[in-house]
Amino acid sequence: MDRLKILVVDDDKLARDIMADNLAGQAVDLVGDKATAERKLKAGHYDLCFIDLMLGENDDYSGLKLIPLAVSKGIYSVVMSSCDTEETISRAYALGCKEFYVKGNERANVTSIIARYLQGGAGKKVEGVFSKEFITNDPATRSMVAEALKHSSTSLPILLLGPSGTGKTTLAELLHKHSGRDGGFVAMNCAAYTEDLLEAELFGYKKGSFTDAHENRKGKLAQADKGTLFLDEIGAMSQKMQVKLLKAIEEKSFYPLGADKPEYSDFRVISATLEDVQKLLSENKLRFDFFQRVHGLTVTLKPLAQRKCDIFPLIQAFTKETKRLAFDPHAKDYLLAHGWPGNTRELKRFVGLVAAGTDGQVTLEIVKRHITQFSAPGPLAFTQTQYDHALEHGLAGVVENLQAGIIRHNMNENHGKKAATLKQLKISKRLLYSVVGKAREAGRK
Amino acid sequence: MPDIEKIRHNIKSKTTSLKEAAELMHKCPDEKIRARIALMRETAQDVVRLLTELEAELQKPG
Repeated sequence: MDRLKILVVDDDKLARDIMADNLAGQAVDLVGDKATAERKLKAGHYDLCFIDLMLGENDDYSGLKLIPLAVSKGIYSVVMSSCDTEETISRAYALGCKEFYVKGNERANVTSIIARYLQGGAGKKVEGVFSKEFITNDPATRSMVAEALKHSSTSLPILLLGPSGTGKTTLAELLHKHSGRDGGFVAMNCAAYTEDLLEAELFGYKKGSFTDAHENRKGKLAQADKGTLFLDEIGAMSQKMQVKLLKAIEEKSFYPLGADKPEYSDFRVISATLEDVQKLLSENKLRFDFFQRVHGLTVTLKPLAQRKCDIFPLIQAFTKETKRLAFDPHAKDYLLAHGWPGNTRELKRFVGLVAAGTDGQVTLEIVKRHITQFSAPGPLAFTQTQYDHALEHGLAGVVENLQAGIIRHNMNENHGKKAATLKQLKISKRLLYSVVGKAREAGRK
Repeated sequence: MPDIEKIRHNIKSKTTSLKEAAELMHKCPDEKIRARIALMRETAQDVVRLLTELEAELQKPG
């Protein structure tokens, strides 16, 4: 990529110096007053221009006067100011500036602005995405992905929801690709590690910090510096780990195992889970504060069974560089009627099998032979805590607790009317009074 | 903009630069750190001067 030609206009020397660091790698001119800025704008051919509004301690927003000149030269003009009154912002936009940001978070702002400039706006960006990078013809999915792409160049955390195989990792990679961040895409499946391993993997460790730590090792947080950290299966993380990670996300600093100094990393978090978030929260598997920190924007991806219009475009994409497949009408009908419990992952496996085992013409028999006949197990009807309690104290205790809980909940809903509870739950008076009696007894204690 | 507002704006702007510079300090290359510290000191002195000016403005009657 050619270097961008950028003019920075700011009367504050320290601010100019910081901008020079933030724009390292680009061709940057730094000026501190309006007259020089005008000369430079008239003479130079800049791609972008960052303008401070007050150019001097007694200045009266002379930076505003530079905006029309920059705009007339076709320069993408950005106002950066400590003065963010509504009137000033309106005036700056009315004069033609493209972006206005409040000073104080330069690095993140500059990165996002350059990414947006290079992408030429969100509308242009999504063209082509759905036919190449995230294949979907489903209007709801397109709209959700397009919305997420609008935020790709910000540091806003994104939470991706959806069953396994719906494209959460693909979308996370896509968002990173469009983020304009210099660093890499670092993915990690939290369910694949025990707590100790997860901590070492995330935060890294110093030599000698535990028995097998024979050398210093960078963790995923450090690897994702200036890039994106994709945390899959966040619900599998322990509460303790969530607290540690929350701190690292908020402070952008963390202590590797065995380290006595913090390390810094400027990473953006995209997280994902296939589980029901509400359930994770109510079962205390996901801390509310951690959830609040990682779910800036939530994107829910639909299972393939709910976007069947994507089946054949996806098949085309999976066979793009290999053997093309032609399906008989009956074979097509069968594919459309199938539930695809494994979603795109199942479809990809199916296409791989069919492509390898046929001459390209796919009949109903071939489809039936290769399609998955198994389905994923349904959700558990009990919590892990209940299960653990049953193992420790026996099943009867758990059942009794469950009965009592449901009865008390129903009585509350019926404002204590026992007759309504007896009727609705179809239970005996004896059971009801036993539960009420025990609750009273517990209350007295 | 009245003088007092300008002073407040300048204090805000310079302290923001200082904060930003302090946060980036650990990333500042060795060959540049002295120059950066000198700039930060200069900005800090500006902030002190502006605070004095602000106090004087606040003491003016009316």
